[in-house]
Amino acid sequence: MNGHHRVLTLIPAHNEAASLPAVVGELRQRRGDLDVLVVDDGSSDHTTELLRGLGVKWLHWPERRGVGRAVRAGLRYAARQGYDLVVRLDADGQHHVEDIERLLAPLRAGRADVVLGSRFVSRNRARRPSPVQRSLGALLSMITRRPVTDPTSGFWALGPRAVALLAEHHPGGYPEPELHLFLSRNALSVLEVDIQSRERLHGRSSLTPVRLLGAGARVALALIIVPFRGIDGFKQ
Amino acid sequence: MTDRVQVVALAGSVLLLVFVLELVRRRRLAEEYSALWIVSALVLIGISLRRDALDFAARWLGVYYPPAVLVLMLVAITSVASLLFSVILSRQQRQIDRLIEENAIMAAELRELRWEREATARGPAIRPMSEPSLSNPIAAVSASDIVVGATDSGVKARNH
Repeated sequence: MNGHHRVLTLIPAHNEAASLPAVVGELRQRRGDLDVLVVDDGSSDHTTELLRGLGVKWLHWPERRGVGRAVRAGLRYAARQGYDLVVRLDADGQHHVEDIERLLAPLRAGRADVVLGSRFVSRNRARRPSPVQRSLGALLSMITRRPVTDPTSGFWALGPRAVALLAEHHPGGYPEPELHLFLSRNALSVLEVDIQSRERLHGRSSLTPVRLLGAGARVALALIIVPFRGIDGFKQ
Repeated sequence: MTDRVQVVALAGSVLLLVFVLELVRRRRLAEEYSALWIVSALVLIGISLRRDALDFAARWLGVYYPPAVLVLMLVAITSVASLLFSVILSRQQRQIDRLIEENAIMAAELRELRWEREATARGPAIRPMSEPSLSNPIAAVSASDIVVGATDSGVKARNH
């Protein structure tokens, strides 16, 4: 089913004990062919204990370091273990497992290095981007010179070139907008595909107003800095 | 011709130099981070001794009171030092990040190797989907039944 590609599903998780078993269960049931790696980013609920019983591969550290670093560690694991393709999805259950193949197909066909799932690419969806998402998308579209309809999407797939590069240089913090800039700067071919999304199963987004402000400041800095960085990311 | 501020500045600069060198001698300050402080102390000593250099700098900068240039220099030195510390801090954070990630990956690889070893010891037919644990009592019971005949490391793996 996978052809000659080894595919890893990467799920960063912080305090997602309520929804993680359902997400993993759905993956097992519908996409039993995919390996699953959960990166537990210093959860303080019982996510960590749960992992032992879920039958997945997992990484864990005791303190929270942010979703960007969790994803980077997962990509480093994928690169080390020889996976060709990596799909990232959220642990809160907002992404549909059946959309995974929509993300993987262009990678398998060699049509892109990165496929980004967008919740807003189709105009007849009930969900609309917020004003912040809309203006951030417009700004990123202008800088990267390709349409960015969902700048904060956490559902994407990477091909081998992107896995190797981002295992070293995936941005930390709240990384999704910065990722767009990085991909553009390093001339990786990016494709957006339409995905569905639903409300998260449990809990709330971890993006509190204070964090949002911090993330905004970081994105603003990245907008200025990243286009001037060397190719292949930041050289030490 | 000396005035009091010059004596105090000289004494302070010499004390700074001695203190920095002592910290290096006791290995409390790494050599690579001591350079900024040693150079700063030497510059301050030089300026404290050569009043005319300070006067010249003050005239050039348009400062009416020459010892104010000393204060200005101290502010400049501390600013450069804090910027340097931020750079060092960032580098160390990057190194710690890398270590945490490498450690997590190695722990996962070790865990997976142990599963494989235990599975091989049990035979392929009853290979479990997961490591036995409290949150999965069925797996824990079946594994403890089987592991009796397994190697010591298998038992250790179960108890970690």
